[in-house]
Amino acid sequence: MCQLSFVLRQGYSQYDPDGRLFVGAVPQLMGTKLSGIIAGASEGAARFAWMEALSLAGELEALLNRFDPASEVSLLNAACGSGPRPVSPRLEELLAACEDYRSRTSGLFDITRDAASSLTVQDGTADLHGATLDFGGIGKGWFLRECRRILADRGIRDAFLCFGNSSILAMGSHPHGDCWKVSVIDPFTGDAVTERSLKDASLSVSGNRPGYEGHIIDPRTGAGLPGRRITVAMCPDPADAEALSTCAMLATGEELASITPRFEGADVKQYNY
Amino acid sequence: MTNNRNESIDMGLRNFIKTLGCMTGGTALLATTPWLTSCTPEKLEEAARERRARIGVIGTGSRGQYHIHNLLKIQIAEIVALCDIYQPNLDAAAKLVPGARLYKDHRKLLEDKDIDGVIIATPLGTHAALTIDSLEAGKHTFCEKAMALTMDQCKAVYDKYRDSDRVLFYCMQRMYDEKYVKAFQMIRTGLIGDIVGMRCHWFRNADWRREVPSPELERLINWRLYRENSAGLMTELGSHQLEVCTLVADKMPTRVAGFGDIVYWKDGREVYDTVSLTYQFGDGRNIVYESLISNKFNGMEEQILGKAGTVDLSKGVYYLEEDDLVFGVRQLLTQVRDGVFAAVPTAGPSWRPELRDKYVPHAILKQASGAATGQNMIGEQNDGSDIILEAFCQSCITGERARNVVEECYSATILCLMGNQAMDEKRVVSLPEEYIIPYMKF
Repeated sequence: MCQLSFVLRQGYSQYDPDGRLFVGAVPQLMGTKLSGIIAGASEGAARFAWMEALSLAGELEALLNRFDPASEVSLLNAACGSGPRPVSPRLEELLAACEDYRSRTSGLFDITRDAASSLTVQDGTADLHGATLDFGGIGKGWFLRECRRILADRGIRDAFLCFGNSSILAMGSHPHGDCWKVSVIDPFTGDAVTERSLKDASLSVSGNRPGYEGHIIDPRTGAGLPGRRITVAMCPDPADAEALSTCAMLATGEELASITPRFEGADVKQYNY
Repeated sequence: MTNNRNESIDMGLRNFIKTLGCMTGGTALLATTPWLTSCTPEKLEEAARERRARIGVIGTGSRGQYHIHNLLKIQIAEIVALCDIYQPNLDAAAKLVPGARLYKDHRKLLEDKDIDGVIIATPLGTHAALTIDSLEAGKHTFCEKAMALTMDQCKAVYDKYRDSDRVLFYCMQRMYDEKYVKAFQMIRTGLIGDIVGMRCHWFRNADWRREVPSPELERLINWRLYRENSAGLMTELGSHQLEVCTLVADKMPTRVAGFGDIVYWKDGREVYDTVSLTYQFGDGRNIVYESLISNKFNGMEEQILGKAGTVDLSKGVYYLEEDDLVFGVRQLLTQVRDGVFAAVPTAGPSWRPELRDKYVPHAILKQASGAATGQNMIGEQNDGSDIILEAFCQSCITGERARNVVEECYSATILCLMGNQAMDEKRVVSLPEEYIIPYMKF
């Protein structure tokens, strides 16, 4: 008998050969859930791609999960204030990317959550200067970016991945349409905020939820952001979309208007209530 | 109109079996629902080509007339005889079937050589004697549930059936209800993990009384209220629900304790209007059962509790403890499979595991129907007995028995009667050895 507890540990996947449709889901991955549909691919291609993606997620989790004391980020946070520390090439690359996002978002996207602090990354080392790192949702963006590469390498053109509700990668199109359509839901009312058509695009949504407000920290004040705002960022690149949706939670309309053009193909909207 | 209705009913059984066949494949169908193998579409076609089943109905009160209405829609059935000791009921039925031969003595009907099958829709206290008479007369027999009023009567019926070559059905319609059958299969394949318990209840708010034209007819018409003919809530309602529990568990509880009383309807009735019991399996798992007829807030539910989820059989829905596996793309998946292209409400602020505070129901069947709401089981809609009735008519032609139906009804009835004994005697009652049959597993 197939026990669900086994499924929960290993994830769920199913392939329908008639519809050439693969569906996969993992209930616990990088602190949230991942589910996805791969359309029009062979079972072998879909399953190999899916497993490769899950393997990659495991590597990212080991690198970035600040709730895991053994992760590289946790070890780096624990050593903050003790000067430059060696980091792996992969983490150095990601830290450099975050510094680039901080610059392009006028300091609003900041994994140190502290505008007064600075992060120095060079020659295989990182110096936190007393700050601690929280990668937040950007890890999901990097993961989806890698998924896109993995799927494309397997010849897969049409896929829809949903990572924790807030991060979506849409490759190609729906089997019965010319894109993938999603609605963004206001978690306070359940109403649709907006509908987007995605084709070879990514969507990232940020916002507060009932009972979980103030989790987005304004690096300028160090305080959590109150109130009801939802931001929706659509970009070709999943990581760009993550950075922009977070940044848009903190930016004024004018700030956002100046920041958005710095990201290729970006479309960012704020919805205030 | 009549022709259209005929087609729709015949298509009911045909589509039912076909759908289940598609869902499961033949081997799985046989493994989880062996009683359905007697009514495959091929066998139905063969039976329909051969002839029609000639049916006699014993008991033409409200339930008997309900079956008559269904029989009139079944193409392979022909009602040829009617019998009732109460003239107004016989007259009412005769108007529905003008050409039928009429009897006031069931023995005369059983002597009728031009009857293949008999439907018994009489008070519980008469089930055993009528069923035994019918089998002895060589008639295929369909009887209302429960099997009998006492355990001895149940055993006598079972023994008669075992020694006979006739078909015997009991109106355990959940065994022929698509959403139940699908749920049985889903549970067997691990949908909700290991079964850890069951909770069933059936609440109504009505006195269960019928209008009596003359006082001497009280015990005849309101037979459900008096112990000479009725075992009360347990056999009238509980038998259906306990039956699905034993089917799902594939085991028989071994003992029961409980309380019952007449709490509200103190009108001279003898059967309890409130019952609350716990049945225990040999491995410690329980069925918690409750029924009363002076409050309907809780309605009817049959919850199968698993380590990983819960199935409510009566509503045709299930809930997962860790919901939901294909989170985020479930609706999209359904759309793709159905050839629909539309926006799915997928995106929103990040999902947080600690925020989930309620279970989401998932339908066991794709199509929403009255069955999924349980309305068909409480008489708001067709109660599903038309499918099992048609399966019986088919067996009247082919002579093929439906496996397990009699055994399941026997087991469920024994459990009901054990429950009544436990409540009457205010003690734990164990399954008496003399009523154990080879079919039972523990």
